[in-house]
Amino acid sequence: MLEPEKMPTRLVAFLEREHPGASVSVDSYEQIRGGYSRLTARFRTEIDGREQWMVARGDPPPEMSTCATDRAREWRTMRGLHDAGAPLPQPLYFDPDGTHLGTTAMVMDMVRGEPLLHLAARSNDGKRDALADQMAELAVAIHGADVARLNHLEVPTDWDSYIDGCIQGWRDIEAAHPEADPFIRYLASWLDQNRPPPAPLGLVHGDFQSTNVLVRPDGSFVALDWELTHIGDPREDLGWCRWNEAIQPPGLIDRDEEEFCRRYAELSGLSTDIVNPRTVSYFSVLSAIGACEAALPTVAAFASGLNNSLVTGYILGYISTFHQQFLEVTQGIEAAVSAEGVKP
Amino acid sequence: MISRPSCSRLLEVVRAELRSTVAPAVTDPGAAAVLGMIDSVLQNVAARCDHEVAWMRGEIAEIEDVARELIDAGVDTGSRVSDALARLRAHRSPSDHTADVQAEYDLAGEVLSRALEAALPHGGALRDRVRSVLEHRLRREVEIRGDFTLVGR
Repeated sequence: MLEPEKMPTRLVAFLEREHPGASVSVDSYEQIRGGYSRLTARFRTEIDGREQWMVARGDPPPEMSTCATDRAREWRTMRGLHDAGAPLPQPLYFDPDGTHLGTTAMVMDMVRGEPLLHLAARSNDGKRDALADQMAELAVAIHGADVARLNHLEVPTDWDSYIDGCIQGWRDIEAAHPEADPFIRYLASWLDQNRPPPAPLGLVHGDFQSTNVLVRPDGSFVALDWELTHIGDPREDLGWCRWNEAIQPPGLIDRDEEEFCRRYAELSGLSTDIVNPRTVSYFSVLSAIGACEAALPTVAAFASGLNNSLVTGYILGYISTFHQQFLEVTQGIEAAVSAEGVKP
Repeated sequence: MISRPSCSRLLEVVRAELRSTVAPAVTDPGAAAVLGMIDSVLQNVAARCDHEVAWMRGEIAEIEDVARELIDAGVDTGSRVSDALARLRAHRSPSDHTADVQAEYDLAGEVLSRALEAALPHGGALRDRVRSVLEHRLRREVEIRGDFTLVGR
């Protein structure tokens, strides 16, 4: 993947190892643009005459990394969830140390479809309302997935200790960063003092947003990018999706947040005391921990000259946007609580 | 050295040339996305380069003021703010070189972080006063960043 011109040959050798004795060919190798964290490419295979399009997803070299996550963990997550029937591409093969593909990489079945963000952008209001409903359904399907096969994921003992861990995680990220970040320290203290009612813990996608959803020709949704998946509070995904809508319009949740929450609550069986725009707002900033935990080490490496990715320099603007959201969301919730006399 | 035109002026012209001459010739979506990122980074640098040291010095002074107010209000439990403030004052920048001032600014950032942690539980005017320093910092960051949407998506 690091040397695209060599990839068809590498892939043939890799697939021949996976299918001993089979006749294998690979062509039409093409990199896929749009994602920031991993190298992604599509290609066509024929294995004993059977055609299949596949996608390879691998790590960039360390000096070009923008996001420090573990491919082996993502592979195990995808395998376990696919077996459990979750809506994701079928994971097919894994090269854990890059021996065969030049970098740690997985290969999955290619899902034919359109990114949800693109579909939303060319849809009218009525269609976007329907897409928002489907987004709620997808979230419920993910959050309700059977996690029995995901024994590599840490299971928190209870909701409070999980939130304690997230808040401590924020403090740890800040402590490890080479520059003081008072926004993060402020956020950690604020999150600790303004906890919403607890929700049952379950599977959290971790990067749930419309750029990570493909819409198949039949209209069904498939979720991509499972590198930040964990066991946590399902409202993290709703909050993170809502957060991303602010920088990647058009949004689906923000069209009518009350209605989206009501729909999610109805499908999930949770009450609207637990899932509502205020609690989603709380989790829109708490859930940013996944992205910050992955991005800030690369920013630190960039500052010291160990990372040379333009994307890393570019996402400084993204971090300012995080800071902006931290203040706006926390002050917004305070204002709502003050005006309505309700708990966050 | 030649100090005029300023760094920001030079970057302004580079950005304009990229937009008017280079961007129309770029048809590959990946290269166009890279060009969008380059423009964003250049905008960021252009906003910072002529003012960065002055802005950091101004904010350091503001943080010291608010830390003093918080200490005087008697809410600096465990002297965490006082300790950070003392460390800041003991390690002033020895020069106007950016790296030296950045080091002092980093220490001031720790003072502000501790001041926020001390003020938040008390709420009210004290919390709002300390948070106003964070709001000023944010306004500057947003000014540097400009409008931001992810390119290439």
